[in-house]
Amino acid sequence: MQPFTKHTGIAVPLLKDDINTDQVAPVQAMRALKPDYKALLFMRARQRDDGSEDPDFVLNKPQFRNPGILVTGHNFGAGSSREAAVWGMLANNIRVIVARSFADIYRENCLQNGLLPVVLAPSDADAFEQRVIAAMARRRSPSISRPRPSAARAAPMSHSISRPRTARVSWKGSMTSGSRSSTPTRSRRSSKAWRHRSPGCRPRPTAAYKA
Amino acid sequence: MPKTLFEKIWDAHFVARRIDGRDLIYIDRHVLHELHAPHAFEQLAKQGRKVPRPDLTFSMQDHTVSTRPGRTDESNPSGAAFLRAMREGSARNGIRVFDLGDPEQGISHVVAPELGMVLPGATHAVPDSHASTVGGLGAMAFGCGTTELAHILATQVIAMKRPKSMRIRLDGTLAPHVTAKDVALKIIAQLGMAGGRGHVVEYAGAVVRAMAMEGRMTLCNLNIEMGGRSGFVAPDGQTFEWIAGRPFVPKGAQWEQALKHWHTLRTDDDATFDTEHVIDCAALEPQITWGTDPSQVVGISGRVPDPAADPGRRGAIEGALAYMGLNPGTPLAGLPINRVFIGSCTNARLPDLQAAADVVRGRRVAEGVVAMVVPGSSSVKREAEANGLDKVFRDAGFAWGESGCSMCAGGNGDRGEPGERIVSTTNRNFENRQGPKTRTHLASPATAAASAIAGRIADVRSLTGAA
Ligand code: SF4
Repeated sequence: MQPFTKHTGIAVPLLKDDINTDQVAPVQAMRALKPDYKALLFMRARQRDDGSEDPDFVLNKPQFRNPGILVTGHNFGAGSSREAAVWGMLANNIRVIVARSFADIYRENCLQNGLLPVVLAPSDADAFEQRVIAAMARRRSPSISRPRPSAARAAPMSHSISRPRTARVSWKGSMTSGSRSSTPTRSRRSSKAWRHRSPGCRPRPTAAYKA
Repeated sequence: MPKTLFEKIWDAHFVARRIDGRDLIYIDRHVLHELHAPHAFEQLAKQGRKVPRPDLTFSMQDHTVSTRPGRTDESNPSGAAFLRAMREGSARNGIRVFDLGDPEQGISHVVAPELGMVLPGATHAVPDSHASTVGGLGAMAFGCGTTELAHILATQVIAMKRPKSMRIRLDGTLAPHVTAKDVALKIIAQLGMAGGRGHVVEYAGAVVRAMAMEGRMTLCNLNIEMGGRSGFVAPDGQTFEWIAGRPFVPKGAQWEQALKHWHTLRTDDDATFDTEHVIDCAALEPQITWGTDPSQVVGISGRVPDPAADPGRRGAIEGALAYMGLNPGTPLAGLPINRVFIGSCTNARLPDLQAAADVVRGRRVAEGVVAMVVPGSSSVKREAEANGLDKVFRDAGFAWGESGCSMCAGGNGDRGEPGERIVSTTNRNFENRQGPKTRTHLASPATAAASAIAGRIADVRSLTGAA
């Protein structure tokens, strides 16, 4: 995983609620074991019925050809657990999603891949969205960067908007180091130790499991 | 301290708390499917990691398999690579595959309970959002992505922040032809697409107690459609009776020991939940979706809503109506349809097929309607055939397929044509899910069957004279 230190990019407003992973990464685009993750992102919305590009879809607009930050509504990433819906973002160099809220599994998948899921306080979100919309007209873009070390000690995933056009985000854990947020070696050690003191009442494999 | 059942199961499987605030939760059973597992096998191979408990892990071929009789890997050309990668990765790691031709092959969420792979009070993981289907047995199941899937394979624990707890009490008695699917759609309509976000949901109340095991699984299956992290029904006598004797269920002294433990699997009387809902189901009628997400639901006697009446959601409703080709105020019942699909991990267990067959028996699918039944597992298919259900469906003009996910997400190429209106017993009516530009209405097997016969969205009660 690529470490997340600072990401500056063009913020793309897709201000809808409940955008689901079937929209982000359609199953029909995943017909190969290694599909084109760049092309599959919002594939349906990008195309018109005749297969040509839909100029009205936000990611097809000239100023958003190189997106960096997605700005969206409530419950982003609802539905299927497919991680391709995260890989598609990264393939398009989107490293930050600012949403009103995230679906649980999607948020986990983001953290596993160094895609930063940001939820701003409602008043900050209002202000941020306004700035994104304003910046869209001016073709300038807010950026999100890693704060100074002192601020990094704040609660994980807490954030503040401190300066115009800049959202500051602080967090701790794996996003900064680039290691997976799940560290198999440590988990496995704890898991083994736990099994030795696990309560006997849990169901155990019977002979049939060896079948 | 009184505890909820969620807390009891969580605490019993708690391994450690990580520095990032996530808990490591031991996973008793892990079931994989071929759409996502191959990538995880590849990650493991790259990292040089092994699967320590292949005996607790099972591989299902379900998402990309063809439903045609006599199917092979190549019957769905785009699925062949997934099926082979699943086979190879599983073999490398010593995991048993329920492959094409295996008498127990089927959709992971249908097969796991059927074989007793998953048990009351157990934890269960699947790289699939409908994992909580097995919550119907009183298991706590989590869906996850591919990276977490690799992590579970390598460690047998899942890492996640402890969710909050919710109880949904379902009061009353269901009217005839009103099923678990209708109850679930009603709940999603009431709580919304994100109503369960961050929560593990316990479904309780008289409706749930009276519900057959398969219905409880349908209810828990749809938990994710309101964003719930997991959902379950506390096990009871019916649960124990249902699982007794299934192939992977403990036997003899182990069964007795397990049974003793399972009897403790209930929420303590004074335990409190972070969120509680009570829904009265006494007057509930069959439900159906009109829009493009599973919360856009009305009763079968209802009408397409008017966006003007809901200013907060006006844009979303207008978008959905445009996609669905519907006008505000139109009654749902009577809308002409092109296709009916009865299948999926939501509604393709034996009682689902039975309910549909009871409606279909002695009738014909309407002219011009394409109708298809795909059993949730090979064993459901066998049992259905033993009961003559395949004949009932075939005689009526339904196609009868081999088990798999089929048209639910179209991962195997089964799909509707652009513009078609489909009544489907599946779980997601998202745009383009059942094929580009298809218009899906989610409903129960009985409603889907009645609609196939009528050639229009139909109230099963008027067809069978129960209304
Ligand atoms: S039947 Fe549908 S929802 Fe269920 S596992 Fe298969 S694709 Fe997913």
